[in-house]
Amino acid sequence: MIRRFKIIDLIGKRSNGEGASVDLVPFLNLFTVLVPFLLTSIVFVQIQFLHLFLPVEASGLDPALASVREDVPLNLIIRVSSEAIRLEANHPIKHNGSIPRTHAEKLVSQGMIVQQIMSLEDFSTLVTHLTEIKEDYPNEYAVTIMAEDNVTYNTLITVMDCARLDNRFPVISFSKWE
Amino acid sequence: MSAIRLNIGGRTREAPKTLSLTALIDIMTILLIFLIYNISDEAMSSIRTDDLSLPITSSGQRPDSMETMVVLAISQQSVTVDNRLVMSIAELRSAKPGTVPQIGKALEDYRAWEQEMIGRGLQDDFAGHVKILGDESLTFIDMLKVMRTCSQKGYEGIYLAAIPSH
Repeated sequence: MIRRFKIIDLIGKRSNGEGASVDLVPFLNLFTVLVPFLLTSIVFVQIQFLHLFLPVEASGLDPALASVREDVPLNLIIRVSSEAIRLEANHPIKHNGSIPRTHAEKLVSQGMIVQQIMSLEDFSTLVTHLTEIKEDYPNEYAVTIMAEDNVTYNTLITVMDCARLDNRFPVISFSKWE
Repeated sequence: MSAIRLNIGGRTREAPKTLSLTALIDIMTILLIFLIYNISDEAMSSIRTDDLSLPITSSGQRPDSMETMVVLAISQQSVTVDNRLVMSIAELRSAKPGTVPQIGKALEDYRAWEQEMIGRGLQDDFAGHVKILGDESLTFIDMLKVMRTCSQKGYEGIYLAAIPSH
């Protein structure tokens, strides 16, 4: 009834030539409903996603071949165990003296495969190594992460971050430790 | 216009009877635009977060498209597919290496629903993308079981969820 009187009043004003005002109460009602609804749906921290390529095994490739594939120029592998991170590649990874010796690293040559070992928490050294590798192989974008069973998801994400830093190795795939 | 008589400082003034809602409407409009901009269809908004702590990333990205993706959440207690409880985390841990039948069945059901939506023209073609929301304590072996199952059921575009560090 109240609303009807307002409309009549509005029409009456128009007919009298007075300035008509818009009834804002329905808008206010709508907003009063919408705002609490939207407030419950709002998220202040947006989730981000890391696109992952299928595990080597899942893609049908024999995991045993992962470390000796000849068709991949570098075939960079980051092995993550519960104690250390190890870098492997088909080609010798250049080692310069800029890496601090305090990070007990070890350079082991096994034919064409070179390994570099660093402690699990030593992600800065991993980034340094990956940067050097990228400088030597600028056209390489792929890296395979091989992890032991008990390595946590959090560690894997951090390793992925190191590989994807500055878009160095954005094509990441997972494989079981072999 | 009718007016209300106000006695202020001994003088009588007339104030308009109607309340001006324009300022309030302005605030509401700005608030509404802000909320609509920040509203999210994120998986996280519909999932219990008390037992799911996502890892932090510095290189994550927002998906390019807002296409429909099945959400697979692996918390400290349970595994859910599209917000439907599939199995407990203990069952996932005890599952043999390889595919996990319970998750596979849930993905099949979701895919059937997607096909139905595509048939009705409510959705684009099947993309085969899955968002995985894994707790940071999840182990690689369990992660691998889930990813293998996704791959076997045709969900080959895997997106790992994480909280941005900045």
